[in-house]
Amino acid sequence: MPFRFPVKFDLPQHVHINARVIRDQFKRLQYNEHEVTRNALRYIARNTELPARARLEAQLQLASMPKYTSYSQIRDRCVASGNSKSVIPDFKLNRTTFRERARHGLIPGVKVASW
Amino acid sequence: MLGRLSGSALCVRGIRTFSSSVAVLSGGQRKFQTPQEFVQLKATEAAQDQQFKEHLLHEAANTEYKPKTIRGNDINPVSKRPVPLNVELLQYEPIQLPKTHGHKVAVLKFRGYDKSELSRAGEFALRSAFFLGIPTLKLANAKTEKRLYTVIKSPFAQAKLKQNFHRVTYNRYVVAYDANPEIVDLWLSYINKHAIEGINYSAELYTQEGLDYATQLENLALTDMALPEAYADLDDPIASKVEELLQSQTFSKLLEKE
Repeated sequence: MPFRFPVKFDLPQHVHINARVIRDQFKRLQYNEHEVTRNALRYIARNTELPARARLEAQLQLASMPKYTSYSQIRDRCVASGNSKSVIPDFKLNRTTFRERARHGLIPGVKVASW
Repeated sequence: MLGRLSGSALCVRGIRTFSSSVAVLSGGQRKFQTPQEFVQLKATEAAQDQQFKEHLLHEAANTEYKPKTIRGNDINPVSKRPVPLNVELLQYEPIQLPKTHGHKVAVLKFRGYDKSELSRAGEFALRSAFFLGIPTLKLANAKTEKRLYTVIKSPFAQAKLKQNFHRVTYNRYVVAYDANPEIVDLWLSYINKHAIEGINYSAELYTQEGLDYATQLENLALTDMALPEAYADLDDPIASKVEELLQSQTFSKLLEKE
């Protein structure tokens, strides 16, 4: 069964678009929406001063939340190509797109190094 | 009639000195013994103003355009005008005022990828400091940062050949001394207003406290200090959510039973 988006959402702007980028965008939006709830439940689940049954209940609720609301599902993607492998976080670019742009002098301050 | 500006904060007397207390602290207005004195003063001021206006209208309008220049009046063939003094002065190093007390007041830092832009920004700061009467040191170099990026040269994943790139970030700073906090604020806001794009400005400000600062802190009443109370901060969305959850039906049942 392919992944179906349970809600409608805006596509990301100024970014290379493909299916995986859209899926990642969806996860980012969902994480943003549920961040407070997740952290509150985690706080209750890990607070040793609270009764064990309340903590267990919080843990169960946390586990029953959909996977796409979890931060660990978000992956950095290249802004220019949508690739997720060897993305350089300083520029949000994949190594090949980074190299092309750097060679053309499009990234401020970046030059070919030789020493 | 150029003496009209003599009441301003800057005064030229051998070395340029500066005090911002002139207008701020001495109350500004002088007191008059009789109303006649005040009337007389107003009359002389009005006469001076009238004289100045006439000067502008007749004498100053008829005078030739003769700007002072350092290199002589070389006329630019394109613009058919000599280079004005203020433009020409940009080619010389900025002048610093001497320290009066040596109390460090601010350190202004510049970060950027372009050396020439950095020196432009730094010299602008130094010049504006000079005309505001803030003693400074020269524009100094701080450590240059190089961030290295090594990438595989070909798009193929298993390729061995790599290429190195680096991003060089240059750092410069200006140290300012002996200025009042208001003047430092004025200086910084002026620099901020005319900030150059692509340069990161940051400032460290220093204040002086008395030797009894520690005892002053100790003597503070309990009402003067408000320590953040744990879990009572309802501005925190997570804290309010925790409260909401614990008061909900499912959790309140579990909490009661214990």
